[in-house]
Amino acid sequence: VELDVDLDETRAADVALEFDPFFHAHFVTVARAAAFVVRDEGTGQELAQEAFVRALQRWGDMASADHARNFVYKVALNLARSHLRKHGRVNLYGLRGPEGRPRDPDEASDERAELFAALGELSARQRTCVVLVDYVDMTPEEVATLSGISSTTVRVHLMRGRAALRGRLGPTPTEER
Amino acid sequence: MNGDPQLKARFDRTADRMAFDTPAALEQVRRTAVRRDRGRRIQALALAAAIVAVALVVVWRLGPSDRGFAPMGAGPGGTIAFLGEDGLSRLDLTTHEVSPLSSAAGSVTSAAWSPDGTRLAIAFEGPDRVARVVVTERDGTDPITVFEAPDGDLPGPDLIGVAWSPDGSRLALAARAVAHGRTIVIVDIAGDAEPTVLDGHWESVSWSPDGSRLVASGFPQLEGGTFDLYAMAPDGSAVTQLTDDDAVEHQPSWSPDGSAIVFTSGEPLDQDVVVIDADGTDRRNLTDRAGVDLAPVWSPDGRWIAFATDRDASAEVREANRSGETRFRTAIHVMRPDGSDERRVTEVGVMLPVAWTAS
Repeated sequence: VELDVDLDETRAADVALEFDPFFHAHFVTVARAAAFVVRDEGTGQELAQEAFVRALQRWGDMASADHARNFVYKVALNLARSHLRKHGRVNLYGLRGPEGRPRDPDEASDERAELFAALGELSARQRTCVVLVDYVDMTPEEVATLSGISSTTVRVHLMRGRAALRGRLGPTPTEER
Repeated sequence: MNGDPQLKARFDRTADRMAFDTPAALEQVRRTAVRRDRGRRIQALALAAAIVAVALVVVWRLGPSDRGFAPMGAGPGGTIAFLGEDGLSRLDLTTHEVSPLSSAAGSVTSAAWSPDGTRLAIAFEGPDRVARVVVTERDGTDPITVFEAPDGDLPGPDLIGVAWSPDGSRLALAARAVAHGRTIVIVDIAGDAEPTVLDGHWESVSWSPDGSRLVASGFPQLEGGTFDLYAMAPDGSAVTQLTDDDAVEHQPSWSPDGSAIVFTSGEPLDQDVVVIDADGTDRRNLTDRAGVDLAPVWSPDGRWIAFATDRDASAEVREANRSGETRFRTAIHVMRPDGSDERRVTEVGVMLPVAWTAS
């Protein structure tokens, strides 16, 4: 039987000094990236929170800020993949269907709804690659490390995902301008 | 910039509309991390308790003349399933034979026999780190997967409790659900109904003998709370709080006649065995000593309660238990449901009972 060591007050205080800036620096982006992958911002936030909980529990093992950053992205995206894989079969969360929370009445006309719908046309892997590169601004090599696939495969997913997105979204307002 | 500028702009515009309460999220992350550490410690203690129950049976087999324990007289019969050094095993209390009882590849985290004793539900974490529940024949053969839980990379087991409905048609699972702490999942064994999830943060569960209520330890609100006992209908409705104090209360077990609930209460490393009436009244401490008493289990006839305790362990073993650096070692005691007639029935060792069946 393995017993995990509790966070005593002293350690908790020490952790807070380092963890808080890290959290504030990355939480929103991780949550948004997860939200794009699962196409639901509420779920994205929950998955990001879970990733940061695990990071905090292992904070003493984090060798650097980059290590911690990679850890939270990896956990959040693993959770997102698991969410997508299992959500249709067992609605374990019991909170919402695959399409997420009820949308605002006017959301159908919203650019967000259009983007989420377009992302839904991509495979989970394509979506992850596009989000990490085109939103988070990671390199394909960084995505490859996080995803456990080759950078060549990342580029293939990226190319196909971008093509599908452009085909679905059409010219963006920026492009129109 | 690595990304496509136009897609990046589109992502950014949508992302800017996603509003997150970052301070609240940070506070929630902190609370969850601390609570999870505490929960995992309790969970480990419960596991240790089950292991101790096995030791109890082993000592019965050896007899008091061999070990110097008080005689049990006409002790409870049946079979105890336990998690020991070699995984899930069973002890026949009549023949005192111990044999393997696991067809599950991986780490077994809990098990329970069906009320009629003909089937066994086993929760385990497989080599792929996915937690599953299988239902097998009584002897652990012919497993059929009835549930898979997310997710593969969680530290520790995802499924930490299994309870059968009295009619044997459903299982109540105390499960960790991604992003929602732990909760209870009701699984229809025949697969005729989708699993249902009960709101709240629950870590252990027991089903009333008449099937009308569940008792669980945890708290109904996801944002946090203290570990108390709550009763609820199997659909999660009609939640009523049975205990209300600052202590951590865990491992509830409904008595076979439905009149009482036994559980543990206290700080994680100073738990006592407590019993209440099924409506939460008439709280009685059955043990009240420094140290860990945990994982109380009713005998099938309701005449005994077995539990694990470290009070008999040496100072070195107790210190090692508290350090978390070794497997938790306790001895099993038994007592009457009023706390009388307590006796030690095993030596100190690593063993954890998880189920007790009359047959």
